[in-house]
Amino acid sequence: MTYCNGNGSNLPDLASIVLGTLDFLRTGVVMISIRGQLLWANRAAEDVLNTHDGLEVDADGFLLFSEGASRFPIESMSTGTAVACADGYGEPSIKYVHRPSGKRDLMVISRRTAYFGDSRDTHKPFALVFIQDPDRAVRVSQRELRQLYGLTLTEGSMANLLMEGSTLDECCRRLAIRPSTARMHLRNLLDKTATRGQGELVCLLFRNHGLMNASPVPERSIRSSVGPQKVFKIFHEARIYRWL
Amino acid sequence: MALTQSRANVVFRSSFRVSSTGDGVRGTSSGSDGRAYVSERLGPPGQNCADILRVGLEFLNLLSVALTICDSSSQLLHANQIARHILHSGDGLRVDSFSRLRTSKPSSPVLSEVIRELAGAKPAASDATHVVIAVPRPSGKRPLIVSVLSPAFVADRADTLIPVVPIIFWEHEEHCGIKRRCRPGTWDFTPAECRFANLLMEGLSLADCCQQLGICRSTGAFHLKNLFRKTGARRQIELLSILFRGIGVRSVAHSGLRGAVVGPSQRVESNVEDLPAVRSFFAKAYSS
Repeated sequence: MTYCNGNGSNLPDLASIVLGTLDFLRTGVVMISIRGQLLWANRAAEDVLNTHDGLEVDADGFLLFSEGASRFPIESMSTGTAVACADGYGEPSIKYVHRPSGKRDLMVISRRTAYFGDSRDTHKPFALVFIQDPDRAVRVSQRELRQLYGLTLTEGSMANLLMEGSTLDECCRRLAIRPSTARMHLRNLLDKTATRGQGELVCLLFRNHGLMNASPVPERSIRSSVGPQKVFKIFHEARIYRWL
Repeated sequence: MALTQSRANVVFRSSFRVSSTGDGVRGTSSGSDGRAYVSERLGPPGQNCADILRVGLEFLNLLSVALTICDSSSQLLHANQIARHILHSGDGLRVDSFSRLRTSKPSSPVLSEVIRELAGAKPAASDATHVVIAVPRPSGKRPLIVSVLSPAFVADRADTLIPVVPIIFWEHEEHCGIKRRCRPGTWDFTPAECRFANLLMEGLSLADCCQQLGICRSTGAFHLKNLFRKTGARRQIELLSILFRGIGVRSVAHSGLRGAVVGPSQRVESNVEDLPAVRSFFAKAYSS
């Protein structure tokens, strides 16, 4: 029994699964065309673009810097193959994008894709853009913390507060608990995660969960209204932007 | 495309219709969360699908995220390069001789149970978008955190829909820290401060960091003070929080500079052949 579909029509399925996986990530990822137009953005990137704070997309789909409304530089990346790294990917270029709102600068890393070749096709993804928002809170869902480490609700809230950089005193205030209670919770936290101190605990949490988005995925409810396959495809294809 | 028409609450500028508060549109489209949906400029579906797919996989490679796709009986249908590398090492997850995804400790049926349960879940089920499992690793490293995502549906040869479950995991220990060449943010760390910050981000205490670097405690404290000053942090925990959020858990900026971490490294490529027959479920997707 083989699953392969003969005419290769599993391709959209795999694409939508891969794009769906990228939606779970906390790092914003954007695909842009050779003209600098947005082709696809994951959930985290859309969140950044929709705030018009630092980076945004104009009416024609071009990626812009909010300040000065200058277009995202593509030219520097499109000068032949000389920029390609030894691993086949383009040399990453890093920019720190100032944000009008006064939040910390966005870290924007762009690099050519390994597959573009010499084509001038404006519908093909040309460059990958990663967007890291330093002010985006990293939260781990209570459910996840309970499933993995058996944390109680208070311990879970405390773990999240510590990840924000709060002290024990701040935890007490935010959770409305006494210092002795907070110390007990912290001891239990360290016990359950097998870590030796607050620093190690925070590192563990960031490493284990810092890559994933804790927010629930809304597509499920959309999917259920029409029928599984159809809606799943529509959902993702609807977000592959095409600009004429 | 009627579905997308009703969700034209696009948040991008001008030529798209922008919903003023979002409430009006959200009310009519049940379950929508008011995110951007583009309806008007949507091209023919699937035309640039193969390219988008390739680049999507490239993103995952650059981020060192392992993606495997299994059917309800844990049969491995697809594994990306990062996943193949981890599976081949057999440290936590492995593939058995029937090309099923298994945990390295055979006594643990949790993974296959979760996969079966998620794959059998009705699409309408609203809770449990994904399940996270900690898989113990024989090498003694910290457990592998494996996220089993909600199922997608693909058509098999008979054109019946089968649920498949995407599973993602990554090497937690593998974290390329700050590199001098790509100074993070507006902070201007010295090389010594970079090394110190990288050790802190591995979870070491001040004393351990000093010991590792072979510096005395006062020098360590001096570095720490400078790190505080440059990042605006007041405490060690806050510093860690700022560093992790600013750099990200995966600093993709450095992957090109140290190709060993991500990308199609030779180490990974050579291992692909050794895997027990991974089903050629998506073989077409690659060849086209």
